Amino acid sequence: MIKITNLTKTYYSDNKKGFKALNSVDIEIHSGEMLAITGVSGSGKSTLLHILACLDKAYEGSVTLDNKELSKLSDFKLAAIRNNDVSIVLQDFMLIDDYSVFDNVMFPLLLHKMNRKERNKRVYEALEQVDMVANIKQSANTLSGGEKQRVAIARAIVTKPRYLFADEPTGSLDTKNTEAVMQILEKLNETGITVVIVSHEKDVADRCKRKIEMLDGRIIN
Amino acid sequence: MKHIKFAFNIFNNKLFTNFVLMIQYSAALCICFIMISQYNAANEKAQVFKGLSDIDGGIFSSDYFEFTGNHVLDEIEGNYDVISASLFLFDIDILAFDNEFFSYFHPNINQGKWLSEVEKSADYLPAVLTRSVFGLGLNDIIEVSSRFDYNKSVKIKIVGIQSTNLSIDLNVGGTGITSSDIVQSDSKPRLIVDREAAIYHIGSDYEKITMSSLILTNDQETISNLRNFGYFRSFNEIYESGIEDRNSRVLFFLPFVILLLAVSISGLIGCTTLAAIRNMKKFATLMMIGFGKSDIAKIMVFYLMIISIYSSLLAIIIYFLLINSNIPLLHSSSMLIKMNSFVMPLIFLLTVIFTVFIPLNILKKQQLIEIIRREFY
Ligand SMILES: Nc1ncnc2c1ncn2[C@@H]1O[C@H](COP(=O)(O)OP(=O)(O)O)[C@@H](O)[C@H]1O
Ligand SMILES: [Mg+2]
Repeated sequence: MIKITNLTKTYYSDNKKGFKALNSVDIEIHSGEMLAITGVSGSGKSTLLHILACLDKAYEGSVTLDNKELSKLSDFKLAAIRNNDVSIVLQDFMLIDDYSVFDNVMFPLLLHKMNRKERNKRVYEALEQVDMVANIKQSANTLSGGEKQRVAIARAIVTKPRYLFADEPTGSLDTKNTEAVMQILEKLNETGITVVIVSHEKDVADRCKRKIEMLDGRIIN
Repeated sequence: MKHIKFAFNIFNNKLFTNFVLMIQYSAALCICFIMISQYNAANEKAQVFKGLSDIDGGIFSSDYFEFTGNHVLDEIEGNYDVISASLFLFDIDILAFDNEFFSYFHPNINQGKWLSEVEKSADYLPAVLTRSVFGLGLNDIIEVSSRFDYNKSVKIKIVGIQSTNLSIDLNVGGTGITSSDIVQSDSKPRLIVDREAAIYHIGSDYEKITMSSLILTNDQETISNLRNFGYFRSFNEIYESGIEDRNSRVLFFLPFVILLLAVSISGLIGCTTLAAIRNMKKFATLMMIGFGKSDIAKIMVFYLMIISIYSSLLAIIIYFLLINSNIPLLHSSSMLIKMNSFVMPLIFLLTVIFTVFIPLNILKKQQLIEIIRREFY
């Protein structure tokens, strides 16, 4: 379970007073949920998601993931959580271009103690879930946008995380690929993974059981 | 393993640049090897005379080939002791020293024994070989005939082989010390024998002063007479000139070493820094999926190690080609393994520490989320 209480994130840039991208946010995200966070551009959605995905621990207030206060954890522990418990998928896929689909999906498992056979099996299973087994040997930079996003999802789930965060996962995809990605995320949620999707697209948000709307760093409903 | 995998990826991405870097760095390493081995070779020669530098005496050599019985020497005879003799035969050189001298001069023996540990024999003259490469081995017996009496043949048995090929050479006026490396390929075997035993076996030739001799004397007038007559250098002078020779070799190479190391290390710093910046996206991705900053640091260190290891291999190859290439300057630079096993890891370590410092600092100051926002939004 994720519990966010009185979360404030201030960006300090150009010696100005500081800009509150998140302002006293309170949310509870229950295990197994599929939650959408919507809102206009600049409302603080990505900022919130980055904190949840253990990428940013410089915040005020409290964010606990399974009762652990994230800002109090060391960089090393946060890295371990990113590797084991949470995964994030971004609009800009973040694949390593000069490696194959297989390699990209396998990389998180390099940090796990397992033999090659086991590792290959896990990669294969993850790619099966996103229907990309056929492209396993293809180099990442030769894939289409939709394919890249599916590989990014496979990489996110290969470690069997309990939380999956997606920041505008369909932002650069056409309707057909958007549909495919949403179906994959829904299926993953059905297997028990908590899924949090950030999107300003209404169609995407409507497919989630619960919706939160943000504006100027606050939750508005 | 995983770090090495990514390090190779970064290395392969800029293969040409890395290749240029490696050439630079290996040139620096190579010249460094040469400097160190020159130092070592010269130092080892000088150290032969270190033990002798307290003795009153030196090496005397005459300008004339045969000068036995010369009146100048006759006049000062009795004021000095000759403690050596040399016999240069067609096939071998035999240097003989008095027992007295052996208490100062005791080379390291690789195989067999040193002369003072061998029993006297009526059948053969025991000898120590200064180097083991002439097709001669331990316990071999060779037969030679005296230069003065061709009918008389002498059996010489090799009882020991020196571990370094240095010997006190009585034929070279210059330093009085030589490394057989200088005349490596075509030099004759050089044997060291006990003078008393040599007199017994070879005959009275060995009682006379020869062209060059070790001489013991504490009489300044005798020394100046010897200096006037021929060439005389005290053991201390020889030692000091050996040290001077050693230092001047280092001073000769040092500017090149420093320059090349400076150039190549700045090249390495530039390239690793660039590699860190250029691969920031990759590093951010790896960190996003759970790699820590220490993993990224390891990847950078391994990247540098790949360059250093390749460069060192290249340097070693070039070095061996150079020392076998008949460039006179490099002839005595062969003692690579022994001294470089200490120096090479040191240079390695320093290079890695120097080079990785800036890129790692850049990485350290970067917040992961800032890289992600900058590179992916
Ligand atoms: N590093 C930063 N420094 C200053 N302001 C930032 C920084 N990152 C984001 N912001 C600002 O914070 C606000 C929220 O950004 P973000 O969370 O990306 O919004 P959203 O994802 O909802 O579009 C925006 O106004 C943005 O300009
Ligand atoms: Mg955003």
